[in-house]
Amino acid sequence: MRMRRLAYPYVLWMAVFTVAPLMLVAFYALTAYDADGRLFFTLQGFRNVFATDNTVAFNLFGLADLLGFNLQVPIYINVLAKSLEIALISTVVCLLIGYPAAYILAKRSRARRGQSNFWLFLFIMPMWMNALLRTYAWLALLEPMGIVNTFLGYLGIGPFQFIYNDFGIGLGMVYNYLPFMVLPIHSVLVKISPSLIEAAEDLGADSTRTFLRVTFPLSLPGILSGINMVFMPAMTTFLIPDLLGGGRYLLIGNAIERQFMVSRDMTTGSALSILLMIFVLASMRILTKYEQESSEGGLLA
Amino acid sequence: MKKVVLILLLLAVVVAATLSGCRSGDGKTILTVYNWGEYISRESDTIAWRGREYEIKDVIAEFEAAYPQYKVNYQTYDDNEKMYAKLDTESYDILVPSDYMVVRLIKEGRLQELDQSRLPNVKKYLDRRLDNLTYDSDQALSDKVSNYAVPYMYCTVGLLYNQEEITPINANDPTEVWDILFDPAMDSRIGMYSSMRESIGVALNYFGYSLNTLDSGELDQAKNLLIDQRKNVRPLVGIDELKDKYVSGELLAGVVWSGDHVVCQIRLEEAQEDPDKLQYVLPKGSNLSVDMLCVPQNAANPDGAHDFINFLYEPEIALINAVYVGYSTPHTEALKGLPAEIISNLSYYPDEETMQSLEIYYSSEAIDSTYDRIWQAILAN
Repeated sequence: MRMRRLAYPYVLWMAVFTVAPLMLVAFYALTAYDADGRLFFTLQGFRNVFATDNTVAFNLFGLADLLGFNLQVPIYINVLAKSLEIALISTVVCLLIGYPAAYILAKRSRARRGQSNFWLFLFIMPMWMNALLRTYAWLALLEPMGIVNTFLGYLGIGPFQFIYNDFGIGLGMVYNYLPFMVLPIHSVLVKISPSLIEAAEDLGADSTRTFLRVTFPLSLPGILSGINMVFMPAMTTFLIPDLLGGGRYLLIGNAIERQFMVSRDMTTGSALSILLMIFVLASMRILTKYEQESSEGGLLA
Repeated sequence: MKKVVLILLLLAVVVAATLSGCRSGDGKTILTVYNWGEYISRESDTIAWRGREYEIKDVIAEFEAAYPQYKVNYQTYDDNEKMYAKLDTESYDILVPSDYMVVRLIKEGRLQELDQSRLPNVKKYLDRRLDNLTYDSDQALSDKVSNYAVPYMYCTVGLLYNQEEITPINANDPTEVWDILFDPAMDSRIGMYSSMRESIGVALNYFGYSLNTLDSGELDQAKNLLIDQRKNVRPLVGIDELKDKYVSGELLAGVVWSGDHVVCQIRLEEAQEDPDKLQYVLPKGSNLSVDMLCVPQNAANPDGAHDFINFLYEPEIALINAVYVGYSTPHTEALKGLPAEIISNLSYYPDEETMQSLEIYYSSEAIDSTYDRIWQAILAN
């Protein structure tokens, strides 16, 4: 009984800041004002999102160039696909860099039980600073006439075009979201009981086998939540592509911002938001399903 | 019961926040100014320009000293459309939209008529040529503009290029002038504004079409040109951040407002470099744009707004701003204080004939929505 009362502030918080805004978005997506300022129900927002009279060539992962086909899709579908492409690549790179990092960090943490881990601290420290400032710092570093290119110039190489392209955006995303991949994996890895690994070794498994059959499967929940924590913000960000993309990129986050701030079309903007939410919810659903299945395998039971 | 208390508390906070908006702690009335970035002098400095020295002052501080009853809350934007988007939720006392946006705001009843009797400086010093421009296809509406808005600065849209790297362009034919923007050899060395009208306008002008066309064939051509440019030339897109990149040589050419070219030259002079390294050409049929001071219908402090406009038309203040901002001033007295090379340059201060060859952006529901649609498609590529 007491617990329930303690939960009231949280329920109120969620009602005001999560449920109400969601309902507002849904409301805006389905309504518009006519010329006399009267509110009416409409599906025009969703129709605009899927409008076939304003199309662009579809080119996910450069496939169209590679296979030589020309498929015209509604502009927002292309924007969503492009966002998905960059988010997927960033997530995979984060995982490839983040897993070994988490593994090494976990090993160190375990080796010096109880003491705070200096390396983990170093890893988290940049996160104390605002993401906007960190991204600006990359601009100053990697500009065509920035610090790195000037330095390379002394060595007689370059200048390289590091930013204002896919590479720049990917770099910004990986840099900003890497800790979100490392931390959950790290916290799962440190909790794996050393006795399990010792048991595997006693039973004759070499270190590769131990890793593949024991450590890695046990760390899957960490990987899944890491993917969740990186993929979702990477999919929806508009700050990083704006700064590191040289203003040339329209990802789904920018497209929604534009609808509200520039086109002043709340109906289409909200419809786009809903589309994005459905997309994100669906991918989360797939991930949790995968997580359940892997735990049903008996390893984590 | 608790919920009621909570809601009341929340309401109290909201009401307090709104009320405190009009007065600052020391009993001064707040004047909220919403202006373009880098569009008013905010520093005390000496600027050397074409061999002349100018003493620059912080104009906002000067205003607060001259009118101690006001405290200025100064905010900036870099895009007419972004400014427009804020008007529903915020209350400003002074806005500085471009001509076509002024017309749109008048049409929508969002501006208040100015009390000309409170603007004696404007009456005395304004270059009346700017009042007689045609700001809308509807002449009656165009005539109304001067009742609602006072020109602050004006400029033309042209090509800036680095003549150390690019062969001089001696033409005013738009196709010849703009050609370099679409040359794949200039990969990543071109600058474009992120604003919709400037980008589409340049593409339309390149083909020799009107900047206000609604012909879908012409617009499609412009759209495809810009999409190809994004793919093959990969221009850098921005507003104020581009200026330093022209100065440093990172960008070799780009679309600029004439005022930005002047600012780049002043920055070169400051760095002890030859200002004429960066050249400016104005093609025929390009855009003339006038940014105007106006007062929104929902302004909290219209009195202060009138005082502010009048203050900006003090000859000394207008000169400081003209030097600092670099755009063309409509102030007949301040003009006399500027370097002779600047005033005699027809690209900055067009004569009657040049003015006739330029076009002003128009705004109508059809134009606004069509251009926005095209712009989205360009961005999505």
